[in-house]
Amino acid sequence: MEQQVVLKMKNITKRYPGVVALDNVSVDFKSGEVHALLGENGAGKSTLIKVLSGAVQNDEGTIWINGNEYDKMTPLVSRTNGVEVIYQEYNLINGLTVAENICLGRQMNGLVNKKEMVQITRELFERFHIDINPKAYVKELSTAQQQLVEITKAISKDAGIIVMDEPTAQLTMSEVENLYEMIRSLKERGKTIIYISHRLDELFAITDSVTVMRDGAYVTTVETAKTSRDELITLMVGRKLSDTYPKRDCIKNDIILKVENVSGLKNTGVSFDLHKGEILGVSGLVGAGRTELMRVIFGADKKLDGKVFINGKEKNARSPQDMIKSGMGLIPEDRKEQGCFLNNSIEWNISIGNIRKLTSNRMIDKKKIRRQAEKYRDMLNIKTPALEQRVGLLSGGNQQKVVLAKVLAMDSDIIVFDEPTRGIDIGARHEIYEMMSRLVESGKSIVMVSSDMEELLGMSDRIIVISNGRLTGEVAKQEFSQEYIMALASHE
Amino acid sequence: MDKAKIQQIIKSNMMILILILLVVVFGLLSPNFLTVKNLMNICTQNAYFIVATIGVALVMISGGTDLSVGQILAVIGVSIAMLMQSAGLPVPVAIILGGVIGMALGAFNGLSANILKIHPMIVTLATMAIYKGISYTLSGSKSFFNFDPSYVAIGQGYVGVVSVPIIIALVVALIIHFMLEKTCFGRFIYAVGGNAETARLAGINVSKIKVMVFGIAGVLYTVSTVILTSRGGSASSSIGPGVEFDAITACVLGGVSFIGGEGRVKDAVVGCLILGILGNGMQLIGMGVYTQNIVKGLILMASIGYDTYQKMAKVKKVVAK
Ligand SMILES: Nc1ncnc2c1ncn2[C@@H]1O[C@H](COP(=O)(O)OP(=O)(O)OP(=O)(O)O)[C@@H](O)[C@H]1O
Ligand SMILES: [Mg+2]
Repeated sequence: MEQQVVLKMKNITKRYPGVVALDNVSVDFKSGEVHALLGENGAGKSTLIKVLSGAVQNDEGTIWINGNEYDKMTPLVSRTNGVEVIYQEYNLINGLTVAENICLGRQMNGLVNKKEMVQITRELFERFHIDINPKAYVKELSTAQQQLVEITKAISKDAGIIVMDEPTAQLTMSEVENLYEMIRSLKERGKTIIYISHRLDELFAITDSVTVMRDGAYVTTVETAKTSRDELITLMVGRKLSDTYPKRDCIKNDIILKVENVSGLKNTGVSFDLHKGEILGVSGLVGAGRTELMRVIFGADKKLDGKVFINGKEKNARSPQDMIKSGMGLIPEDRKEQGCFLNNSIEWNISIGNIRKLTSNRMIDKKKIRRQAEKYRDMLNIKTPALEQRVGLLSGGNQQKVVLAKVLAMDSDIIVFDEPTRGIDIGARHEIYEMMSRLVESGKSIVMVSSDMEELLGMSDRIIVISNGRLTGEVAKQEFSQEYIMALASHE
Repeated sequence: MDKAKIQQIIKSNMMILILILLVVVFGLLSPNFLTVKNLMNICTQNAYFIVATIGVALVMISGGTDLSVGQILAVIGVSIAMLMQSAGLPVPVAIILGGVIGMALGAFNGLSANILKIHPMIVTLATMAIYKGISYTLSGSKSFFNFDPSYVAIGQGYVGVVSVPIIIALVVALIIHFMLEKTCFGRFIYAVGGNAETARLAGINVSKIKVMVFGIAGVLYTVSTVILTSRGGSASSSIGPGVEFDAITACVLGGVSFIGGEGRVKDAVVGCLILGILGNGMQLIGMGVYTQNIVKGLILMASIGYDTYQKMAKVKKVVAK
């Protein structure tokens, strides 16, 4: 198919107090292409998208779309020009059903026709092999399912330009495959897909070209077929970077955490051990109950049955507070709802978990808070103009780093990382891997729930697999293989 | 200093500027307004209100609202009067028992919200009715007068030129300010109001904090009642009701967030003073009572609108990731 330029972002500049989020960026997008935006956390990818969708207004530059040139976009103008953006969450209406959400804004003879909506939704789902009940309420869905609904909704509008900002962050492999299918069929119909992701393997699997951004500036656009992983990383970070996993010797130590026959609302009879100084990976499909299992152990959700031992002592935790006292910490998966205080500053967020230690004469000591925040900013490379910045204003990846810092500052012996690198760029990701290695070397123990198979295989000493709320297998390091783990994960 | 910084300072002290503006405007309009005596008077008259509003502000920062404050004032007022007169207890003992009652009524609000898992606004809507029933049952619709002179001295006394109520309000404001800014407990209040689930996962006992906040508010309500009834020299079941809406108005005016997680003692105090000065000033320039109501309502609407507008702008930014 003849590919034409359908969208030109020309000399776009966007400033925020203390940061130039976009610095004279120009990019062209063609029809029938999957075009990736790549860059470190805070590089300006999301901001560029927001300028395109009219969510924020550029200070300088113009947007040329379908032959029209605009100084600034508004959400309405952007929509009428056929731009649909899939943000990570928050755009579905919880109190409506899946079908009602998908058909929202569609003209249906002025009347609400539930049957027709369900029918339309069912057809869309069938086309994309999605297994969700159109009549279910959105609030009953898992985050991954919501993400799929969100994607389907955007696609159903028949827009010319579809933007996906980290669409796979919530999805596991089979669902990602599913998404690829959707994207390919859109591409065949001549649509433009702008695709943001920090996972390079995805870029190679699905995109045609990659635009690299660094510190708010445009670096270059390359054809995916003609580039390599190393080249992309160098372009993105500005220097060479090893992206191998840190090597460690794992010595079998004593058991620090023992989980016996634990059941919750979504789990039945799960047992496993965690050894001191070990990284235990937890694999499974989205919705398998991994997050709930961790929350039950941590005392955040109700434990219906079973026992949890730390250092051989039974712990009957009724709240996270109890578990934290026993030396356990949890980095939650949902950073906005469970990880951050979006309206408070970075330093405030990092210190809230261990504030009692940051006092002198029993009074809060702002200097200690500041010093701790500086330490983690440098360690995790949190990109911000100031530590007083509200967390809600940080880029997605940097918010995630604040959540990590908050839990790390609590200095627990056992740390559960639930999707720790979701939304985090490659450079920082390896900082986090290094940090996890250092933690276990210093005698801490880690449970890592992850949907990123590569990181799971690279970091874990042992992997347990959960399917449908049950433990379906335990895999030792020698037997690690993607196929085997996937098979266990889809085991009924 | 650059322009952005100055803008920032103006924005965060908006309400203080409006307060100053009001003082200047009324000063120009009425010669009797801008006198030390009148300004002191406004403060003394509003001291009880400031203390009660600080209590409500605490509840709001923790993510709740307290609609029952007016009725709690009534229950405490009647109780202290009866403890002194019917039971013949010494003044200090009666006041301390009043504090215990205030704390208990407050804590009951918090406990009910926790146990029933419903928003404090709804809970206090219910306890508002309950406490009203209690206060009228206790008082039998009677008023109480002729308090012990040592009690009356609290509300009508002076230290130098400054009235005792002003001193009490100032001390309360400083203590609560200190608690919010300098103690871990204070931080936890903000955390609970900002995002209760995140707070819980960070190891904060959310339920306990909520009950404690309501309990502390109850103690502040007692202090408020003591100022009010000792100054007026009477107590009855009708002394408090109405305060709840003024207090919430003052908080919102001052900038305490209705959603929780944000607000300072300073905000509540400024909100109270704006209301107080508006009332006094409008009266001095001879504005009719009904016009006064309209002006107050409009100001409230404008300030809530402004608050929500800012919140929405914030939320939009956050949501758009
Ligand atoms: N509303 C805002 N106010 C202040 N600064 C902002 C605002 N929105 C974004 N920024 C800043 O602009 C820069 C670019 O942010 P952006 O969200 O575009 O990054 P990103 O490339 O999408 O990063 P990530 O990979 O972490 O999602 C960051 O430094 C961010 O802190
Ligand atoms: Mg982003």
